[in-house]
Amino acid sequence: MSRSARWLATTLTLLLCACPKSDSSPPSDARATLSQAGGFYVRWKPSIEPPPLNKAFDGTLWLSTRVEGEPIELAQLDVDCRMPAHRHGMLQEVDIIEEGAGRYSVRGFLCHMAGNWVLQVDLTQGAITERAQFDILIE
Amino acid sequence: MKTFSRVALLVLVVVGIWKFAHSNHSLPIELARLSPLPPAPPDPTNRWVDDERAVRLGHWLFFDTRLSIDRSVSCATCHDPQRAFTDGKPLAETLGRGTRKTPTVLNTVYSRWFFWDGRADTLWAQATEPIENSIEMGMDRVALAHRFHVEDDLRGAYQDLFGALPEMSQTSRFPPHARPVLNEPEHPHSQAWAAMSAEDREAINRFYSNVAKSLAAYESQLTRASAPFDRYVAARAAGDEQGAGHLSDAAVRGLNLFVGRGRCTSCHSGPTFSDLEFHNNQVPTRDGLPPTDPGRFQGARQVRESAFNSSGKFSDERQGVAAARVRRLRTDSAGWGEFKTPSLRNLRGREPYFHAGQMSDLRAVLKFYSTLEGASGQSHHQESVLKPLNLSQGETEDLIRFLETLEGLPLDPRWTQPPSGSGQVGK
Repeated sequence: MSRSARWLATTLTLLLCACPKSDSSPPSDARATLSQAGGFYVRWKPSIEPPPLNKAFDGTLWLSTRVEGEPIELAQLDVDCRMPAHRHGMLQEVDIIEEGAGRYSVRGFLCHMAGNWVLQVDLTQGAITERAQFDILIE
Repeated sequence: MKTFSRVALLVLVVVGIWKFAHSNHSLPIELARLSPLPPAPPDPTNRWVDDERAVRLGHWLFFDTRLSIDRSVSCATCHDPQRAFTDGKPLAETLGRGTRKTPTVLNTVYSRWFFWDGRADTLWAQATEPIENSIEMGMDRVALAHRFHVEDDLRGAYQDLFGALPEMSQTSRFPPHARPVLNEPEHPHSQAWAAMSAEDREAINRFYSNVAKSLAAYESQLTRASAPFDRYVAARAAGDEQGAGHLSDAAVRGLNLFVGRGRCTSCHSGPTFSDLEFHNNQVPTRDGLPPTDPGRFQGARQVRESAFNSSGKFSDERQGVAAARVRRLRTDSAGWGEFKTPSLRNLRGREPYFHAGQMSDLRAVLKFYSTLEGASGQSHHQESVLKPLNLSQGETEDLIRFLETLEGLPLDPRWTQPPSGSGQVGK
């Protein structure tokens, strides 16, 4: 390999390493959990960390069949936040937008009270609806 | 020397431990959330809100009884500046008697939703309702346009700002009275409204929303901030642990209770001392019977359907934050019996309290939260925020002393009385 070809290959490698991951990949600090019956795996990242009190924020979900499994596309999803201790949830619904490769943008969270909330991700596949949950502390 | 150093170190450690044990570490963050009151938020749905001419017109109209059908009632009749912009009555009472307490207009510009049930999503949309309410001002939007058309000062002031009025002289197109009456298609006003052309209805709605936007421009001036509590927090933020003496010892105890054991900030959070949302607090009804007021359940549906909501034709920003909020709004029965959390700033003069004026003063309010005596039950709603606080008499007094420190600086006197001048709008 000529010197210039080696230089080009090195530069391209460095550039590739420097580029951010594809937008469809979850960041390393996304939280992850299996659904309660183990039927799907979900990663979650809010647009604001930590999620704010009584201010709107968005979030992203990545769904796959299992850890390192196939992305789940065209999912029938329901997403909500509840406050179990108060027995109420958000006063508004979220918009869910599929972005491909198992990634879903969720817009319009508003947790209006401080305390422990639960993010509920319900995935319906055929006759079965399964839930995955994340604890969210709003301070 | 070595012994002296050890003793000095020991003293420092002891003092440090004492200070740690006697400091309230939750207080600073709670304080920062409650103060200061920021500048009023912008309202992109009302492009006139910062226009001085609109403020001036709205100021005139707020005090002008010509906005009511029999020329007897103005906005200021119920929102009396001498009574903290309320009427001092348990239930609103003008042309008829309402079912809810007149809320204050002070600082209402900070609201996310308007009315006790949030059936309006902007300050200007709020202003469209009382004018046409048969037990408030009893007017209708077409009659109001006729009145603006025939009264020179009203017509001139409107046209200087917004342009020409609809062609009200064409009485075949514009009947004497017409408006859409909610859930009453057989009402004569509904029928007259339905008989008008779509273009004429839109022209009237444009006029009506402009009037409301000028009222909102004036009401946006009615803010009171910089309360003793804010000055206390500012001093604390500057490192003065005593808060420069802006709060008495009793008020400080009340503050600690407010953000601590009382958990009042669960709902009365943020710099307005309100989460701006809705709760069912099981407040006793006036007659002791089970509650019948649907509150937010009905309000949420109304705001979604309103022609004057922020996503509607008369909004100046139809795709913005406010419009998304309305689109995402839940309208299910969980909202039944919920009412908006009122701001606790500037409480003086706003008694009686709660959405139907159920409590005559702050002691009665705190007694309810202390005991939950007479709680009306949860009905459809299952929210379980409330627990009896079991306040002692001293704690009740401390909380009242604290709440008294939330009185902001007085309004500029020019906003609390009709505009000076020749007595004609805009002159």
